[in-house]
Amino acid sequence: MILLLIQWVYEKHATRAETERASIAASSARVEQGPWSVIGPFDNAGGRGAEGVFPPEREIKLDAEYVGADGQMVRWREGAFKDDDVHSLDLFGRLNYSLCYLARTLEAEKECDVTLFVGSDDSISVWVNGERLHHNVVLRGQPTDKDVVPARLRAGTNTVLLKVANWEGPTNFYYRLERLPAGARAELDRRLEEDFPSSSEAQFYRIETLAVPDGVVLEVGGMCFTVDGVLMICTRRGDVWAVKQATTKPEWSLFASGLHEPLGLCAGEKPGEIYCVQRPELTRIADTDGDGRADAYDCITDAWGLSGHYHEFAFGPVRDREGNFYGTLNVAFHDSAVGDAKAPYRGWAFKVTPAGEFIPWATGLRSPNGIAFNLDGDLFVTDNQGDYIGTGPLHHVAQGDFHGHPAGLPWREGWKGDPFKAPLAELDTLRKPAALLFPFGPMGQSASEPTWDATAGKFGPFAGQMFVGDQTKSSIMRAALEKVGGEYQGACFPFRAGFQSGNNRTAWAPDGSLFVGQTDRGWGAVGGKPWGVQRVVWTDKVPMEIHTMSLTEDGFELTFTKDVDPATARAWSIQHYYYEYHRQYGSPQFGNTPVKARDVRVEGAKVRLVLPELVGGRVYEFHVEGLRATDGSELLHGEAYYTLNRRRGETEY
Amino acid sequence: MRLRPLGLMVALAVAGVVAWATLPAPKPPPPPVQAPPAESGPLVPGLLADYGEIQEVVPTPHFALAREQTPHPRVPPDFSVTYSGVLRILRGGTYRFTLETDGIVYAKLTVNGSTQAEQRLDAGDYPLQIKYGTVDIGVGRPDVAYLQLRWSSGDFVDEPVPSRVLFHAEREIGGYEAARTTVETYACLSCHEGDAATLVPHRGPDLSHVGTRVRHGWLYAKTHHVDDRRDVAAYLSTLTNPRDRVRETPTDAFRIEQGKNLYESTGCALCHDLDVADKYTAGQLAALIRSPLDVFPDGRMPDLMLEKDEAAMIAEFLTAGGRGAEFEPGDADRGRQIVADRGCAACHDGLGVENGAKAGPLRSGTCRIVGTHDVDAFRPGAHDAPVYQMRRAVGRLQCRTCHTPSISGPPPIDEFPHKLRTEWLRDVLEGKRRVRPWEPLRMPDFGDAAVAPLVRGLSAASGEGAERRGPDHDPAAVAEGIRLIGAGGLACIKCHDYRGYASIGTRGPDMVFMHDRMRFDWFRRWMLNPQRILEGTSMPDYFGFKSAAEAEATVALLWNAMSLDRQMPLPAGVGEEASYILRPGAEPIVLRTFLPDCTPRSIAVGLPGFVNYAWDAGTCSLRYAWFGDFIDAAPTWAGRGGTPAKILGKTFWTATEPKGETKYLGYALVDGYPEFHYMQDGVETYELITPLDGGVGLKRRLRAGGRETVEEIRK
Repeated sequence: MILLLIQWVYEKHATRAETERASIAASSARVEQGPWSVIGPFDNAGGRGAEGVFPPEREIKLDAEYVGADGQMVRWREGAFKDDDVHSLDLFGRLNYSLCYLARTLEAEKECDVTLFVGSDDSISVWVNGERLHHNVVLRGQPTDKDVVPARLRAGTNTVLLKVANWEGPTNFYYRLERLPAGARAELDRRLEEDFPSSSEAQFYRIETLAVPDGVVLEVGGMCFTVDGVLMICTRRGDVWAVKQATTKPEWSLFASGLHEPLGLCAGEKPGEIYCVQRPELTRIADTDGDGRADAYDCITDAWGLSGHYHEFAFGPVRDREGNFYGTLNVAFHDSAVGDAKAPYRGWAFKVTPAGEFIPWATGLRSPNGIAFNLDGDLFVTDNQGDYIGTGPLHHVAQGDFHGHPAGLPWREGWKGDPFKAPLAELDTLRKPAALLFPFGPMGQSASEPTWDATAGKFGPFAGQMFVGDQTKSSIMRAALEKVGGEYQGACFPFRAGFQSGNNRTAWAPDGSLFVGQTDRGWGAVGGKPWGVQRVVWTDKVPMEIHTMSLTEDGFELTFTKDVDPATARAWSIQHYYYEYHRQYGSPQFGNTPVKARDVRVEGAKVRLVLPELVGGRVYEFHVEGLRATDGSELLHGEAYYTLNRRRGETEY
Repeated sequence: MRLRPLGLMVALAVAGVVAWATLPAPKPPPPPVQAPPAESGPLVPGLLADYGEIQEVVPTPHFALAREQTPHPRVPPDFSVTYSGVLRILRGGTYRFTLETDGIVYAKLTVNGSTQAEQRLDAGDYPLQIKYGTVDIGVGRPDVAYLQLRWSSGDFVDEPVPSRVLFHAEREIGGYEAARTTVETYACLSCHEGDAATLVPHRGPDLSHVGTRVRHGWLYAKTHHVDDRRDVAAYLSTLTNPRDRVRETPTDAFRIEQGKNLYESTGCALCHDLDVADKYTAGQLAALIRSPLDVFPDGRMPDLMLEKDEAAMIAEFLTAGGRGAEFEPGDADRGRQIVADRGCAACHDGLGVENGAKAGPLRSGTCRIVGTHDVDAFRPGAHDAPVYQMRRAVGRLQCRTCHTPSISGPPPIDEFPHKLRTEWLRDVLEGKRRVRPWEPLRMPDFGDAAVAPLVRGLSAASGEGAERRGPDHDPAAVAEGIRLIGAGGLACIKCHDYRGYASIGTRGPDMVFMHDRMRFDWFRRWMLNPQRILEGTSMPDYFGFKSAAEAEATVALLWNAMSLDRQMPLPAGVGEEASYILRPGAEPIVLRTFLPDCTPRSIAVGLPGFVNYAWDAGTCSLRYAWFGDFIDAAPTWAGRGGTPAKILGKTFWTATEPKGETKYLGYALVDGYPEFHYMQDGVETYELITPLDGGVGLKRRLRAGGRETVEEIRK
């Protein structure tokens, strides 16, 4: 189809919505969409109906009556199906092997090119003014805007007809009309995002999407920048892609392939060298002849066990200052829904010396999909909610620690008996509490790889703090840790949402932007895309945020990024609660206790909250409304979650 | 041929291929002669076969018979036959004739009055005669008796002479065949004793549930030939089954139009007229269309295997406006008695009355209906005549209605004996397998009993003694054959389906069934000159500008690849979208993944040329090798994944249990091939596995402790 020659116009107005409206209005024709009518079911036995012809394909006569599937009379009826949403078509008392039609009118002010986005469970065909423009016979579920149908509308009344044919199970459809051709829309979106960041977060931190070459399935398992600044990305299918000039003009090439679900990468000492943990081993991968393709896959250690269960993922490596490697090993689920460790060191964090010696490091882990050192050289691991894990934790991992999941205990030296039969109270005394708990729900549902900001301000005002992705919510959280009684604890905060897929890995680019690698396979994620890479760029504007949160003798001291307007800092809601340590999967919040601050003192950028008492072993949750900086800027995220293991002066939990 | 006792060897001296070209002193072909006037009378298709007392018309003279079999049920196994008629030459040239025979005392071919193997013939009709005779010198006929007339010319390669060039002057053929038609038509053998093996009488429909199946008014109208039809119709109306579900559903103009389209396109209209509206309701007719073999077990009305809604729409079209006749039902008990007395049960099953004893054998000259026909021949004692029975079945089931020599319909039936393998035909006719499911015209199911003579007679009608086998399978040539089939080669897959993947162009039968379906001789001729076999076919001629040797070599490569049947690996251009099947190209693919029968530290390696192996880093050893497609990674890459990848193709080598103390150290890629590095019992070892230089298999080079060994693993 040759597009109509229409001048694309960008008309900037005061708001994003106005600009979008005005630009579309100036660049295209006005299109009024009539209500939907729907008719069905017709017979789709053996899937033949998807290719067959039924009356609505011949005539759209809304008062007509036809014989449908099973000889029942069918007639058109109105359907209230909002655009840009998935609607069930379970309307006719028969789901399997049936099909239906949907029709509506489009009144176009003048001849124009538009784009229809449609999706369906299962097949879909699209007619505009009686011409079939799209015919996708396919078995699928979960319709989103998967099919893009460019269409030419004529001036006046147009008719759009959809046919959705189902095989078995649920059936539904998705529809959205875009008044611009797809290319023009993408250009408009780019201009809008530039002038009007799509969320308040976006004003301060912009998300940019890396274009991935056609045919590449980039389910990100690991990312790192090599010593010469090449972004290496390993995928769950076992490839490693090298991206040169990732922040300016990305150039992609395949560096390595054939790895067994690698879920971590770290840079080697020289260009063309990386280290990777794949399911069976820790591997050094190197391009020894300088042709840009790896040719050496050296096994550094394969000392951990593997029974062949799908859930036996392995993560890492990260390296300490001496060059030792660290990684983590998932438990399996052989006999029940509770993790087990039939093969050695499942449920463990491990250390490997540069010479290849394998040292079991700490256990009590379940599904530890995140490992990193902080800037002081201490090792941290995130884990996933599940059996024995009430909500997602961040653990500070030191040699010999036990973090709560009993599966790995039999591989501990001197351990005797079945750890699952040990009294819970006994296990609890062995257990080192998490440095930070991410309350399930408000603070993500599946924390992934943490990372510390060493950009010294290139990434904004949070230098030295921790950022961690969430795979389910496709977000990034921020954390400020402190040491109390010699152990880490601290607070986490929302940071940035709106990524395209589940955030799984992070890597700092030389320019101080944060790359985020994504996948939603097997464990769903919001965002709508199955995988990809995006990066977070600071816009040079400082948001009004809670910067740090520190425990005091009698409460908390919050430090903001800007001076606080004292008059706006009064409306605090505070509660505390705990998560149960038990065999069941996850835990609700228990013992929710509201707390009223005895005093709120504001001084510059600091707010001090004096509480009647402090209770150990609790998560303290804070919300504040209406707080502003003295320059008038609104607080971006008025919430914080502090994990209080120890009070000041306490040395025991 | 099989060796016979010595005494017979003399008698069979002329047996074997009568290769006319080997007769003494080949002379230059004689000058062309003008076609002489053929036999008098208009020419009609087929040759006249004269067995002595019995004559019949046959489309071709080809047959291949086992020991007790004969060409005709009334001809004994030690028979002689003379085929005579006319050979039609459409394009002048030099023709070379061959009779391939066995089991004979004599076989002689005369074309245009000459026994010359090679003749110059202008366009025209020429008399043709074949004389053939078996011998019985006291030990019975030889095991195999076969005859196939082949020819070639400058325009086409050696082939069995097709029926389309054989004619004879029409004339009355009395006796057996005429009598057979009469006896079958009048179903004499329903009551009389007779040769049920040869004659297949028309059976009436099964009337078990006729009271449910058809309108009662029609029963009254139909039984007009019976005394008191009110009584008979009343009785038939009681033959119902409460479990029969005939559902009447509403219809509309659109469905009736769709029904008409289906009626015309699926094949109904080729046999039926429209006159059923007063006989059935739509529901009754739909039920009949869905299972006609229950009512007509002889396959007279076959099952088109339509979807439920398709059958319903056809029925709605055919019964639109129908109305049952009105009648006053009579006495059902009296009706039953009439049915019993009149012997209706001799032809109809399901009447609920006993069938009377059989009448005596047929006797000539005693019957008003059969008149002067000689029916004595239909007494028991017929011989097994598979070709004859097959031809009768083709006529009875009206196969030629659809299987005509036309490019728009199903393939022409006269090619089948030369084209199809018996097992494939059985699969189609009894196993209901279809290779062109996209065609609107449906190949019906006739029921196993009706199609048995077709399956039995197919091979016999080819005239081939032993099937002409294609080249032996050579694994080393598979990769090249598959390449030819794929997008970069002859691109067969642009039109043909492949292993269930629909082609993107005009659809043709699936490539992986070709070898199962076809005989090599036919496939070769089809490839070399498709237009010769089916004029107008869209199958391209690939070899117009190639040498004969090149063409033959290509055909052999394709056959070789196709002989892997369902194991044929995927060529370029098939199923590449949304597939987890990994395909090594010019470079190997290495993938660490869970594999069956390995430790979890396994490595799958796919080499160019469809040879693949599993190397186990847990035991530091080669575990097994397979041929064909590499792996389906879906189990490990789809959903949560992480379950063992699926090995495709066929394992051809498996190692013994690995032994010894090992430590895995990694691998390096050498020209893309992994060289594994490990300690074996304390010795540093390097193992490089590459494809065999010649043939299919692996070359395994081990370097350890300063020594190098090479092992070959062949498929």
